[in-house]
Amino acid sequence: MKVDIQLTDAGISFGGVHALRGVNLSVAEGEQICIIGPSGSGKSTLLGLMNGRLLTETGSVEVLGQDLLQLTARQMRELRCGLVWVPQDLGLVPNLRVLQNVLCGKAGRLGFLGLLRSLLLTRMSEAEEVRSLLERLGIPEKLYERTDTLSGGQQQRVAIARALFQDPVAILADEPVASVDPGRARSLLELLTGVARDEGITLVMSLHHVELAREFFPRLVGLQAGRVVFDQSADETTDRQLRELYATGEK
Amino acid sequence: MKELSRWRNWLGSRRLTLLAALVLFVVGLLVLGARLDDLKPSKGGLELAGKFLGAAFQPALGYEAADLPSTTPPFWEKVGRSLVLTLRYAVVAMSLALVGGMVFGILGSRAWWPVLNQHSPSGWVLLWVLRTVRIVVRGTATLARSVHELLWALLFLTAVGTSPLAAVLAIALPYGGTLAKVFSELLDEQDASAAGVLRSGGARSSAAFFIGVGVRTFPDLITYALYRLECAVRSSAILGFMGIPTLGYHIATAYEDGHLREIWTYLYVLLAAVIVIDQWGSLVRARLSRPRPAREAGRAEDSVAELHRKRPRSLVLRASVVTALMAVALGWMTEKQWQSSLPAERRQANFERFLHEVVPHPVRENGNDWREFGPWLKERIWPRGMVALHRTFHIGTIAILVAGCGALMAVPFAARSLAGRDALGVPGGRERVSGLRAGAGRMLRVTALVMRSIPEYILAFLLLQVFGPTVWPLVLALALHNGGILIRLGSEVVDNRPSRAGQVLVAQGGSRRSSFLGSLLPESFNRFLLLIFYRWETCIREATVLGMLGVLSLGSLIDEANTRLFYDDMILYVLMGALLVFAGDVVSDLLRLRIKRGAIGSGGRHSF
Amino acid sequence: MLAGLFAGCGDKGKENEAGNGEGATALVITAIPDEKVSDQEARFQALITYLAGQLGIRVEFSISKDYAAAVQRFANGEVHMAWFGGLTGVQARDRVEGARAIAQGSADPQFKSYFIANASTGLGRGDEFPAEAIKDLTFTFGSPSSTSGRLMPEYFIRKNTGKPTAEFFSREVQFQKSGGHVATAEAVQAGSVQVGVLNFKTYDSMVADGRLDPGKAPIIWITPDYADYNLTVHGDLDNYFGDGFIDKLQKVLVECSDQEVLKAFNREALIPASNDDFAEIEAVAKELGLMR
Repeated sequence: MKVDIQLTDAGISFGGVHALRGVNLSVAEGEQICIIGPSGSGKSTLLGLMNGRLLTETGSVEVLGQDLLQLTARQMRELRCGLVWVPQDLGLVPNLRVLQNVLCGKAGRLGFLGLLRSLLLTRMSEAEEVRSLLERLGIPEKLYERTDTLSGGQQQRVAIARALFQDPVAILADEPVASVDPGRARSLLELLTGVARDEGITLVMSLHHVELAREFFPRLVGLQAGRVVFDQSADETTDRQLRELYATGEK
Repeated sequence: MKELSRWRNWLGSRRLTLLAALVLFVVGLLVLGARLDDLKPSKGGLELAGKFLGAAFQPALGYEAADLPSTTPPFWEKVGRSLVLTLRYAVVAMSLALVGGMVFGILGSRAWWPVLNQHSPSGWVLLWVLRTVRIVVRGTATLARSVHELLWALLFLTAVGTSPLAAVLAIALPYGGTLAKVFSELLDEQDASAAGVLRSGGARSSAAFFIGVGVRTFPDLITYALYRLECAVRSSAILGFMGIPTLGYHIATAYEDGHLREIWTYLYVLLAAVIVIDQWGSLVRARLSRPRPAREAGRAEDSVAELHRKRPRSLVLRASVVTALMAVALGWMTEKQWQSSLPAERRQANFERFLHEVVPHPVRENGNDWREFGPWLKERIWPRGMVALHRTFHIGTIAILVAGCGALMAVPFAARSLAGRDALGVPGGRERVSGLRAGAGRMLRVTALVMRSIPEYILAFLLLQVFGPTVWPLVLALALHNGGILIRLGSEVVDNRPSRAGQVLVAQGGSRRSSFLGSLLPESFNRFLLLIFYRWETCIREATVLGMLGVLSLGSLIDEANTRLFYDDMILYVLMGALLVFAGDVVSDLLRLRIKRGAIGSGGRHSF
Repeated sequence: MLAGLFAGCGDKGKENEAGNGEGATALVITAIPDEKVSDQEARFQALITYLAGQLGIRVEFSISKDYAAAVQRFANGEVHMAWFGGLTGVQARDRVEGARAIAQGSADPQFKSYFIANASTGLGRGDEFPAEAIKDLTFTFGSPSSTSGRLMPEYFIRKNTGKPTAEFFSREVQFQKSGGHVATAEAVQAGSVQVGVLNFKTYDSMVADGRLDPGKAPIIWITPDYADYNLTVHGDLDNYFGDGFIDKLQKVLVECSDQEVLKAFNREALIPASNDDFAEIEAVAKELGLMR
């Protein structure tokens, strides 16, 4: 199976403190993995290494077969067109309409003028595409609403729609359901993992809520103090392991 | 040891600030020579004040003068023309300032920089080039802004001659500088996560910046620009004191002739224009930040076209855009002649002669011997220049301290959420005189509105006639105008942050004042401080020109030099004033940064 | 760069330019606002019509908002001819090469200033300068560039007391920034200032019109004579209006006896003038530091 993301002995430190050390991780095409661990264990940092927002100081990080350290800016941009990053605060532009926020997904492919054209003079075909995406996510009627008038859960779906609109190879999501109650979190994760499975998109997510991680992801990677403590299927993961993982921090 | 730490604790930064304010106030009083006598209006002055206030209720509806030449245009035509001219200059100047401000605002911010690899040599060089550009742009913008528009007008009129272009540029330059500075700050402070997401999706830095940061900052930009337009109308009006026939010119002439009722007509017209723009700005801001829902909500089964038809649109915003564009177009196109009527060679010669005369006199006389510069400079700066500088500083400082105190006392009564029977939404029970609180609050707000809508220069001009030529009318004028501004801004701070602690205090029987002092003020103290610091440097900037009305300070030195045609002296004093404001700007920025960093829960961007 | 912006960008509006070499269309006149500005335009109407008729060209009057503006506009070339005071005339001729004083009022070579005081001070007219009596009172000059309201009074105060005015008076000295001599008279009459100095002609005409009550604001001292006021023109007007234009202009002004026309200057008649007539003024100005 083709490997999408490969970290070999990756590590990075900030201000003399090791945020990550000796990380070996391999994510195959179409796989869905969840990174869990206490606060400060390096989950966000790990995701940052995967799309080049942070560059590893040791070892190597290969994404889609390319070593991130060797890329020029242009190559990096091209590579990133196939990757989507969803931060915790979603990174939407609040005063744009939902349609426009989703259209931004193609920002990488369109170039500056193309993106402007797309946002200001949206073609019918583009609008239709966005609408059907939103329909799949359950909020088609919000197409022209201003994004900041939507509820938190609805905004998350917009962020997912934008991610999907980009037609990516892999989605990297950093605690996308952190500020959401478990019920809604569950439905969102169901949606996201379902869509990713259908489209064959590689999904790497970090979650704080361990139960959800176990429920939705076939593979769990446990991080503690910058090191990978375990990397195994969800079935194999015992409660004891989870307790130990979170022993030093709060759950 | 314990004693020391107890002192340190007591001298917390808040108390320190208050202490510093008190010290400054006292020092200022001493420096400016406070005498109770000075605050007493002269006999003639009281009479004048009485007549003037009386005239407020009977503004002139026709000429007051008896015999006028037949060629005199009808009164309302004269008023109308002057108003249109005032507005035209303001609108055209703002259009220039907006364009310049946006361009330089972007150049002066960090937000558009591409991600740079500091370790590669080319990346390192590029980083330093960008940093230099940013500093240079910001410095230039701040410098442009440090010179008051009246002084720019004086420089242009002297150097090149009278022309509409000179008037417009005199406003556009400092306003462009302010806009650039504020824009770049807004861009830098903007939440960059959207830009980060776009960039992580492969977008170029320019696209990520423009959509992710620029679009997001747009509402704040527009709101601030509309506020600046209101200020520009005031500035345009006071250009009249430089001989340009805007509203201020007619006010000055009417005063000279003793036509007090006419003064009120012009004042009312100016106030009306300013208030209309202010309300428009508030309306636009409300629509931008709290959009109204569409009349018909879209349904899930609607097609794209249907949804497009039902999409939420703001009539206010659309109408505003159209009006603004039309106003700008009209403003530019209706000016018959932008340049002065002198031929180009003449203008060039005038300008060159001005440049020649700006070189200090002894340097010029001795064949450009710059060794003469030192003694010339020393002679002017010490002691006259420094005394004037010192006085100017204190005029501005005392004014803002008085304004700040006044505003702090007034806000508990003026703020909408505190005025009225139910403070902060907590039911207050029956009032003895119903509506008294609400009425008082409203009156305070109206007074504040009028005070901040009258240009400080005009206020000072009128107060000087009543109280005589000392500094205190200037201080009073500054304090009243800025007090009005601070009351409004302070009320907004209170209104926009519903305070649970405040509600608890009121619910437990505390008075409004106690809820204000006990909870709202401490919580929003930092925001109040930011507001006061922001107005402090503006006060000093105004103080540098108010002196031109005849009271010893930098302004009077500038005016004196201008009268004697000593342009080298004039430029020197203008520069001294600019440096004072520039320094104030830098200090204010540093203090604001410290406050923001140390602030807990005072989040939210400032949009001033 | 700014020069380019101003001088170079767009030469729109070449018509109606004063002196563009193609035969200027109008002679532009201004005057120092030594009394109230709003009257000026009306007062100068008859003069403009007269000159236009006599010289066969268009003549315009343009208001200057203060003394310095009048000098600057003359220097910039925005006006061709100006009714200046002594000091402003000297300043203007100093800045513009070839500028000439061509006419002055018939009594102007013996001009004087009146020191006046509010009646409440109890002072009356004396031959000696009343130094002791007034040094602790409030005092105002006229406009800062006024010859009769500032320059010469300052000179005479220094001569009589040995001190500059600012040091001589114990209270801060004021200026009338607008309204000129009329404002001085009104301020002293109203009592907002106790002593003032102004142009003798303005005082006399205000008393004659009834605008001023000499009982409320009596004269307390009259200065020695000096030369004041003049009509000054650019030296190169001949290039724009034809040879001998300046001489013709001078002749027309001096020969005028129409009181309506002369109302502009508040004079009964005009006589020829020359730059030398004001040499004393220039010397005093330089001595007092008001000129270099």
